[in-house]
Amino acid sequence: MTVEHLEDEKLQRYFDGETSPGESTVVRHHLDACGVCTSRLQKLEKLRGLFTEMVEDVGETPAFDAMFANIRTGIEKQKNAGFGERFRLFAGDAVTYHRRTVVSAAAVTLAAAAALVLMWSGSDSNIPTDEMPSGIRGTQVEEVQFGQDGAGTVFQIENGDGSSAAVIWINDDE
Amino acid sequence: MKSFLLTMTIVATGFLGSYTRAFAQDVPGEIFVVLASQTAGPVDPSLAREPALQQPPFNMFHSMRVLSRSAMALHTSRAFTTTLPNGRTIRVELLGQTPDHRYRVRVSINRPGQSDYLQLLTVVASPADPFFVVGQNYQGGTLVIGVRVGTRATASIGTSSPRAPQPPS
Repeated sequence: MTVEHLEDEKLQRYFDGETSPGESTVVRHHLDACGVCTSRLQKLEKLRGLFTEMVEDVGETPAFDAMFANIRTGIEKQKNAGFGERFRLFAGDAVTYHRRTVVSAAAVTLAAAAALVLMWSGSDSNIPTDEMPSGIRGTQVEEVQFGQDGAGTVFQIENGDGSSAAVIWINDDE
Repeated sequence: MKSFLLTMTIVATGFLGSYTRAFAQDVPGEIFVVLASQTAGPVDPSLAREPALQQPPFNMFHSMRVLSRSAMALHTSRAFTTTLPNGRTIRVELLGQTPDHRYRVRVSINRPGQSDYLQLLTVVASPADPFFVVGQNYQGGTLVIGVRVGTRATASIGTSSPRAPQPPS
């Protein structure tokens, strides 16, 4: 003798209270005589209990209204932002996601700029004297150490063209 | 970390490369030695382009004679050395170039085996502008040593030939 168990769909509708009164009577009679389907129904009840407990642990319902309000405010702010603000947002994102690449590129750019400056300041290209900044003509003593037995003095002499020449005058005992 | 080290290597290479290039060529220069005396006599006409020697206290000398002119080819990797008329040795060393295109040079004057006359002198000089080391006794007069680095035509390194030495008049 083959026993026909309740269909899943019908058992689920009965569990949810969606079956008609006639169907509910038939299901209840089957459950009284079938341990298998009774066990299936108990599993559904157990599953609902677990779900209910999980929802209660989450706590209050999230403040969806406030969250969507913040999102709308941010969107409006970006719409009204100027170029600088938009670039800052873009650059900020770029730095955030490509920090290592950006830092390396910045360092290489800095090195290239420094090299260009030094090459320009000390290159082999001719720089006419007339183009030199004013006030740097002449010679100046930075440091002097006379001999052990010597004594001397350092002074400047005006050349008459705005520049001055450094003179180191040292006594000679020989 | 590897990225940081690579970046720093590139930075250092950039600096060193440009610095080395700045001194790839010799810098022309000149040392001229003048015997100045309070005895009446001529003044070398070539000194007319040295206005500093016409100012006090150099105007106390009544005669000036150029004893020698030596062309220098300075480089940071080697010093220029020559012997003065009194037997001392003058050493000129190019230390580098300042950002405003002036040269930093180091000078010393001594006699081998004896105490230094000028142990150390560091000067920052605009191209072709001279500085003077004065005071050594020689043949009843005083030696005036003029040193100039670079040429007036250019303000950078190694761009023209040094002025041709002139024989003493």
